Amino acid sequence: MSKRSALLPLSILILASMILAMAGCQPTAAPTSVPPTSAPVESEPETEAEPETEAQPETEPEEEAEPEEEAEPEAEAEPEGKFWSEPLELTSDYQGELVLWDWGFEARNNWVQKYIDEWQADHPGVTIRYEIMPESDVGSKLSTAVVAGTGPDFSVLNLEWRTEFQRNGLLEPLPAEFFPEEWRNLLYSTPYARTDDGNIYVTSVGAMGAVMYWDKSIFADAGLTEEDVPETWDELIDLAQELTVWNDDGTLDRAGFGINGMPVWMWFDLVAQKGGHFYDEEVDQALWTETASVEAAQLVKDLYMTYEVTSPDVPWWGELFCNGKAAMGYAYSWFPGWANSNCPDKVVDLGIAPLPTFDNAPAQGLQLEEDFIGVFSYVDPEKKALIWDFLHFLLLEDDERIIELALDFGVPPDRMDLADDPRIMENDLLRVGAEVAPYSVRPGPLPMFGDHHAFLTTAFEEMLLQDASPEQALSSAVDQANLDLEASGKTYISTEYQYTPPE
Amino acid sequence: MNFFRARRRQQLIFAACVIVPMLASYALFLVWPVGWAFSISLSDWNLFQNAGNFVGLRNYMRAFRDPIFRISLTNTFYYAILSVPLGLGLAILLGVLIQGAGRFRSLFRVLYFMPVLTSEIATGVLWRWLYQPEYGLFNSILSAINLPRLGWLYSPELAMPSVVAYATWKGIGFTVIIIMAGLDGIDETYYEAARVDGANLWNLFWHITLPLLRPTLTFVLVTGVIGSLQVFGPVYVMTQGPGGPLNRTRTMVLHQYQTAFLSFQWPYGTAIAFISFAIIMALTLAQLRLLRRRWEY
Amino acid sequence: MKRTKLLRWGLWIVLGLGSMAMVLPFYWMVLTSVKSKSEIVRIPPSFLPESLTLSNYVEAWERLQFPLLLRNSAFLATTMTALILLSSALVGYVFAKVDFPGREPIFILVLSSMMIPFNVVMIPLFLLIVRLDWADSYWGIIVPGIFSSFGIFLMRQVMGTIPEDLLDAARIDGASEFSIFWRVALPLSTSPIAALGILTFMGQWDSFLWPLIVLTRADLFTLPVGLALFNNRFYTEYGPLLAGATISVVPILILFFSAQRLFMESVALQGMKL
Repeated sequence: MSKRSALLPLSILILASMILAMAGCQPTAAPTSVPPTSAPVESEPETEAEPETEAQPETEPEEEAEPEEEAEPEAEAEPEGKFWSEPLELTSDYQGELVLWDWGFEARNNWVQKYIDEWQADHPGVTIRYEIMPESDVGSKLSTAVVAGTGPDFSVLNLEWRTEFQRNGLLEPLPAEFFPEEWRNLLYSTPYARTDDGNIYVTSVGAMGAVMYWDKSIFADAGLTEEDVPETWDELIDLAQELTVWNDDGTLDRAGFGINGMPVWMWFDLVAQKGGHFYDEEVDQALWTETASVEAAQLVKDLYMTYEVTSPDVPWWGELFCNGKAAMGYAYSWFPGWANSNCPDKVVDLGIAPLPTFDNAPAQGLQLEEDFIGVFSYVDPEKKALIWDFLHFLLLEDDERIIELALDFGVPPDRMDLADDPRIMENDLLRVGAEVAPYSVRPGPLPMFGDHHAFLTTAFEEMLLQDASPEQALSSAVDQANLDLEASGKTYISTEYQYTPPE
Repeated sequence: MNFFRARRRQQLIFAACVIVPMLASYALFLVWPVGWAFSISLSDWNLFQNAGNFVGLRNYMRAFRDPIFRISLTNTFYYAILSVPLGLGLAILLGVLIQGAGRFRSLFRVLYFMPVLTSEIATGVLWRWLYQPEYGLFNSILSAINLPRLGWLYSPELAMPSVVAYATWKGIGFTVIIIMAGLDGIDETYYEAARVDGANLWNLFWHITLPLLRPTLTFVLVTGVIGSLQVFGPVYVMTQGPGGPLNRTRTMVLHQYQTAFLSFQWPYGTAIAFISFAIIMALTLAQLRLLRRRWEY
Repeated sequence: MKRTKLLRWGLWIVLGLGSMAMVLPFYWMVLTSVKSKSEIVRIPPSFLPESLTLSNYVEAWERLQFPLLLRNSAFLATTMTALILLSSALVGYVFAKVDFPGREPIFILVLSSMMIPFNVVMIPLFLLIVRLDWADSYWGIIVPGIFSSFGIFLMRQVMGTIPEDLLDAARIDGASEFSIFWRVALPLSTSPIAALGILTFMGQWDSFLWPLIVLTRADLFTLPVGLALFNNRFYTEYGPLLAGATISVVPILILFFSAQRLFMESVALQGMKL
């Protein structure tokens, strides 16, 4: 049988099936679930409630500017200010099951489960099925389930998918009755979480600003103390150079400042520090070749190549720290937890400090809120009422719970009024996080969607492995990003950004 | 004559009883979803909306204009060209060697299968350490014998060969098992007869083993090409996702996965998948045609 | 004589060295699972543990429900392997030995299923499974997986080598095609079938993505899905993960060793020379 006669029936077979498929099943396969058709109906009442609260934004810049002083007026107003901690009246007599998905983080899982049990005791007949999934392939599992209509009623979300769901109307905005404006004004993340339709879609429990880590024992050996921890980049460069140790054969024995694995993230912080932005307001263009961005990239590159305080060949900060091979380093808020679990005997040497800034920098760095639970809009309204009730119970009714989570989970609470709680002050990570939170910003969307993060990673590789100049490397990344923005036809949600100069 | 016709009918009924359920299963679980996915690649549906609009071949044109897709195409072919001959040659060699190991045959079979058994995460971590430029074993050995250290996974030139080395090591046991099963089917008498005629080892191999192994080799070659053009696991594990230094280890499936699931650009990702499908199909048909020989004797 | 001896020695050396390289990671995996967590991050890593500990195993055992996961994986893998072996042998035999109209294009169709990356098919397939009400149950995993192109292709190649004369002899004796398959073809293919069995079992045992998508209820989870809980977004917990991975390798090893006896030369064709 010749190839031709094999191909003909085969192609007919394939064509027939495709025609069949296209005729029989439009992407409207989604409607097997309750879905987005109910969304417009649901969100209307909500959005009408919002415009009244829009009057608030003017007062916010003032609140941002004086976080220290704010702690006192709040303390006085406490009895009245916490009116939202009263349990609400139940508005639904739904009986049955609510489904919550989460991604394995033991501390958070235990905390949520504990309060699910408590809440269920008060609400007989209603159970919350708390499903914990593996975190790998989250995008596949959650997206597939939502498309197929087997998704959860509410779920822990993170920055990356939250935006996608939000854009497609899959998330329910937080209702003002359950999450009053007064409460929202106490969150660091509110200005950035608010989208351009004025709503907030995900509850927030933690706010992490930019911090850096340092090895106390290495400092002690060099005769340095906490006072010597650098506060500006120039100071850091000097100190790191002093503490870096190179071997004779050209390998790095001890890094002054470990960045590996995170240069792009650090660059985000630097750009934010300098008051730069990543995209223009309509999110049509990437702004990675603006002066601020290029200067920030230059600093990263210089740390490797000019000041030589680290090398691309060594492992990331965490492994270096555990082996005493780095004096200072950059990593995120989960790091102390990781260190506790992987080299518990060395954790005692872990020092935490705010990330150094440039002289006269407008901000401390990025504000990354610890995204928490979002509610899907396709859920029945009576179920939603119960879910809001539960979230209100979890997050607003007792501040002790928030602090408990912060202590276990290692992320400072996203609440300005809790910043000076003694337990927060005692815990290094939380204290530093709370210190920097007011000065941390979110200059619009971050390059975390599409392949943009990958474009930037390649750009930094070009800078570090091939000695490309930041302008060159970033501009080819910009070209790719602009192509992607254009081709994917997306309009991203942009949020506001404000800056507060550190003292 | 009646006998043969009855036989033939009986044969065909048997064939139908076997093939028809299989076809039904493929139609339902393969053809339908693939057709559906194909229609998505011709639209701009983004998973969460109710419906998408038909946009023709726009996604496919975009793929051809996308510089990273072109890079991923090159990378994928590079991977295949390196890994298929290496894997096949090595597997044949090992298969023959183990076959000659007498009573230790079973032991070696298991030993060489170990990497396949060990979890990908464990092997990935180990090999990433082996390749670590400063502390890794390979560079330590190199510098011990006064050779220059290499960049391995961090070097744009060496990244792909490093991944190929890992993938070959990880998968060779799999292929060896199949080849050994094929070798098992070769009758000893052939070898005996040839030895009586004075053939040496090489003759035995070339004139008896290889030809009789042809059906197995065809299988290994075809599945090897198909598999290598769709490689995902080893690359993902070795180079953490996006695809290595300067995208040098970003293969087609990696690019497709990233686009479809991490960037939520499903139609575009699916278009990439179909382009790669077309390429693989063309290559496979060509292979089958070239390798077609009657193996009955 | 001497040359053969030299070659023999060469054989042993090559095989020996090679197998050390092959076993190394397995040793390393087991080693890491019994190291204390702080020793795991040590650079450069130690090849002999300073202290042995079973804490990783304890932790893995406590955080996951191992007996349940093992049982689930065993059930699924065994069922799927049995089904796939049977279906592949049958279909492979028909492709190889029975000429029917459309044989060639249908075979190409079977092959083509290997040419599409699974994640493309995943979402539409899942939508289908949901419509059939098989979501969150083992039906959604078993039924779509009954036929394996890989297995069919292999069996077709293998069955193709069976001499036609043998089959004709049986046909002349009046046996039905199925009993020819069962009594002649199958016994001649034990070695490849055993090979396919091991490979299929291992593939099913390690199957992760599709069970992850289909299953939501934790009491249905299989081993790989359960173990993935140790793979967090930012960092991987190697200790318990590798402990779990070691536990999950044991059944396959046992299976492998017990299947060794099937890897013999097929029942000799001697005496069948016609």
